[in-house]
Parts: sequence; structure tokens; C-alpha cells
Amino acid sequence: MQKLVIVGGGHAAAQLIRTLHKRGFDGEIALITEEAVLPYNRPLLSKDYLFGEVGEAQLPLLPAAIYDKLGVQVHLSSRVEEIDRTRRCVRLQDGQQLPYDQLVLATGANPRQLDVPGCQLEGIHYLKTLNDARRLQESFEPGQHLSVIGGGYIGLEIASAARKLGLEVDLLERGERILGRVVAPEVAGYFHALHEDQGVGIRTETRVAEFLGDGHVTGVRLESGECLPTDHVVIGIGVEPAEQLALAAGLKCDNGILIDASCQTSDAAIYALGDCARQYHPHYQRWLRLESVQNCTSQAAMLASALLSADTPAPEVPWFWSSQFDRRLQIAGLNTGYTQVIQRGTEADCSWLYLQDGQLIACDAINRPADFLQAKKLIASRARLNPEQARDLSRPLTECIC
Amino acid sequence: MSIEIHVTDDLGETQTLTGEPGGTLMELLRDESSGVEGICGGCAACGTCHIVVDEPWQAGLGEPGMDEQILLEALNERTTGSRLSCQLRLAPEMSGMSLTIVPAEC
Ligand SMILES: Cc1cc2nc3c(=O)[nH]c(=O)nc-3n(C[C@H](O)[C@H](O)[C@H](O)COP(=O)(O)OP(=O)(O)OC[C@H]3O[C@@H](n4cnc5c(N)ncnc54)[C@H](O)[C@@H]3O)c2cc1C
Ligand code: FES
Repeated sequence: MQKLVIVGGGHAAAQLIRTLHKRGFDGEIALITEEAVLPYNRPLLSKDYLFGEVGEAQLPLLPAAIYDKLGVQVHLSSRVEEIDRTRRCVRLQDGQQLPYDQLVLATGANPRQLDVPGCQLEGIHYLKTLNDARRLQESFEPGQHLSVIGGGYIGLEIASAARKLGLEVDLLERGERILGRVVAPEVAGYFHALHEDQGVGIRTETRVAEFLGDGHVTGVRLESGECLPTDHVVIGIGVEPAEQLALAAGLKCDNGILIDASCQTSDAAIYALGDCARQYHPHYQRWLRLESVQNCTSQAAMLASALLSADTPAPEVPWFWSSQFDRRLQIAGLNTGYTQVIQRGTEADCSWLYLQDGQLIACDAINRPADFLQAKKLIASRARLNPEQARDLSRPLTECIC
Repeated sequence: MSIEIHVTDDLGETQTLTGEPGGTLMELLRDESSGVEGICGGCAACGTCHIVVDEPWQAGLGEPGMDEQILLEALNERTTGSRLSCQLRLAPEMSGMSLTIVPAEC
């Protein structure tokens, strides 16, 4: 029987298993994951789970029955240390060797570490795993002070959750503005104002020099010399692809494990998908390493097709979501290379449309799911928009094509 | 107690699924039938869990909440009986319900 070994138990692995289950895969599957629990919903960790809206029972991505039905051999708290490509087997940290016919690397990405003096103190956290989220939840008390380092989506979501839990929050961002790498300045300004209105103290162009404290963190010293007292720190300054295993095995990597349209790596018996992988995207005509659930879902469909010798589905327009306070942000497409930004609406419900020489390439929609859904289709069809019409809220986006 | 749901999926196939109380209808459909993706995991953020509930069962489900309402209004294929299956928790009263899965709009 065909032996499939999956390394890593995150969204990509779970979605692959679900797709194989639905499409009647009849090989033998082994899942090896470092974490002590079966794959769970990661985006909820910085959102509803952190502020107590959903409990752990709602986190698993697949019901336990699916692993049984498919006969998946699950190795929890278990790490793959090495891939032996000649013998086609992986070695686990306890020495056990598992042979494979096909190997799937779904190792995800790891939080980038902030290496400054004091970074080992207690009370300094990253948020990647359920364990991390549990620790934050247990330690946060109303009235305490939290310093969030990094103004990306995860940092902003943590700031929002902590405010909901009654903490005082400072957010320190090294760049000129929050969300600097991902949205237009206008959109960054919108989120900056939202967070300040909700009591988050945002400081941009601010670098951390040192964490202060004896055992437990008590303060953050900035490069300017100023010291901010604090009870907790959460660092969210981006992630790096977990490609070490692949590199050591001699697979081609370049900011991610390089894969083709069917998710195959430079070794025909090894596939990769999710946050650890980088693939050529025909719509954007570039190599992309995406960090999103939608990307895991889309690549799982490609990979399952390869394993089942079916036609490979085409990649979709990437999309992503975030929620902060009462605002639900949905992002369609990638805005790199935009030449014009159009704002549609104001305040609680508004969207920004990114055009490149008249063509819609991305949309950030806040509480406007219709714009998001329509933009996704228009981006895929490379539609050109009339900017005047697109500013008019009474007109659906699909009627602004020129 | 198991809950039986009669499902017509996006390929037009019909089948009866059995779920347990407590989970959401989206999870059952996502795992066991074709056409529901549930990408956002049930946050009413993606619209990939759209179903149309057969008439006799519509009233019993209660009104959609605000988040669900806003997203439903954005869907092209929306009709009476349209719901986001992630916002419906499986309950014994649903046993016997029939529904149709609407494929994701993109
Ligand atoms: C707090 C947070 C909020 C997020 N919010 C959103 C959101 O709102 N929307 C969105 O689309 N995306 C969001 N993301 C991103 C999304 O969660 C990721 O894109 C997704 O989890 C990637 O899935 P993956 O399976 O590729 O990797 P991961 O989910 O990172 O899983 C990889 C797994 O592999 C394990 N592993 C790695 N190496 C080994 C090894 N050698 N042996 C055994 N196991 C190994 C790791 O421990 C991990 O469990 C968020 C991420 C985080 C952390
Ligand atoms: S699962 Fe995303 S809206 Fe229901």
C-alpha cells in the first residue's frame, strides 16, 4: 500500500487529510507533529480564543473520527529530525524510522525572535501555539500592563484582545507606521486611529534596546533611553519558514521550500505546502510564500490531486482576514506594485481598492463583505475599475468596471 | 443522540449525514460532504459555508445574527432559507432537516 508521511500538524496537514478523506484516498498515512495536540485552528488563538469567546473544544480542525476512519497513524509530541532521501524514510527524535513512498512537508513557519538583552525573562511571549495562547490567557489580569512588540496583524489582534480583557496596552513598532509592509498608508492610518480610540498607546519608529527585570520582565528600555514599565510582553515581528529539514536534505529552498504547481519539491517523492513553501503564482507572475489558511486550503487541493493522479486545480486569488475590536477586515489579492488607492466609504464600513494602472489587484474591506467577495472575482478576471464610480457606495463594485 | 441531516451537495448528490449535538453544521458538512470549505473556521468572515435550508425547517432555526446577516447580504446566490452553516450549532431539533449546499462564490 502507498505510504504517505506528513510532517507537521497545522492547517496545511489538516486540510490535506480532510481532502484525502473526502476524495477516497486509500493509502496509509502517518502524521508527525511536534505539538501535543491534534491540528487546531490557529487564527482563533489571537482572536476569539484569547478573549475567551471560544473555548478549546471549538479549536480542533478535524473530528477525531476522521483520523480513525482514514487509519491515520498519529505521532504527537514527536519531531522529525532528518529525511533520508536515498532510503526514503524519516528519522524521529526518539530514533524511530518511518519509511515513505511520498513525503509531505507541512512544517509551517516559526516566529522571528527578538534578540536583545533580557529576551529570556519570564513574561516575554510569542504567540504561535495553543500552549502560548493558554499561557497568555492564564497570565493576563485586568489592569495589568502589556507591551506588544510589532504592529502587524497578529500584534494588533493581540492588542485588541488585551484591551477587551481590560489590560493597558502599548504597541511598539519599529517602522514608520503599523502594518507597514502590508497595507497602504491610508489604511494603516485607519487602524492606527482605531487602536488609539480604543486606548492602545501606539509608538512608531520605536526600537527595543533591552527588556528589564530580575526573573520576570518589569520594563522595556527603548533605544531612545526611555523606560516603559510593563507586566507582560508579546512579540509579533513576523515569521520565518521552517525549511531546515528540507535544506539539510538538499531540497531547493529560497525563503521557503520551492514547489511546482502540484506542490512537488525538487525531489519527486517529496511535496510541501502551507507557510513553509514557496510557489510560482501565475496570476501575479511571481514566486510567493503566503501565510494564510486559504493558501493551505488551496495547496491541499493541488497536492491531493497530485497524490490521486487527478488534474491540478489552478491557484486562487490569495485572501486573508483579521478582526480587531468591532471591525472585520477581509483582504483579497496582493497589493504589491499598486499605483492608486481608492477609498470607498468611511468610518466603520469602508474598503480600499488597490489599482495598478487601472486594474484592480487588491482590496482591503472593513465590515464590507460584499466588496470583498466582488473584488475577489474582479481581481481574478483582471478587471479595470472606474475610480469615480468605485467611490460611490450606492454602486456595487461589479458595476464599476470600465 | 445523533442528528440526521439530509444534504444535497454542490455536485447535486444527496446523502444523509449524522452529527452529534454541540458542533456546528459547517463542520459536519465540511468534513463529510462536498462544497462547504469553512475556511475562516466559523467566524462569519468568508462565506464559504453557504447553505439553503428547506422551507419547513427555516423558521425553527431562529434569525441570523448581525455578522451572519451582513455576510449573507453580500452573497449573490442568496435566497430565502440562505444561512451560513457555521453559525448553526447542531441540536436535536434539527434532526431530519434538509438543505442544499451553495458552492463558494469565487
Ligand atoms: C496567532 C495567529 C493568527 C493568525 N491569524 C490568521 C488569520 O486570521 N487568517 C489567516 O488566513 N491566517 C492566519 N494566521 C496564519 C495561519 O495560521 C497560517 O498560515 C497557517 O497556520 C499555516 O499552516 P501550516 O500548516 O503551513 O503551518 P503551521 O500551522 O505553522 O503548522 C506547522 C506545524 O508543524 C510542526 N512542525 C514543524 N517542524 C516539525 C518537525 N520537524 N517535526 C514535527 N512537527 C513539526 C509545528 O510544530 C506546527 O505544529 C495566523 C497565525 C497565527 C500564529
Ligand atoms: S466558515 Fe467562514 S463564514 Fe462560515
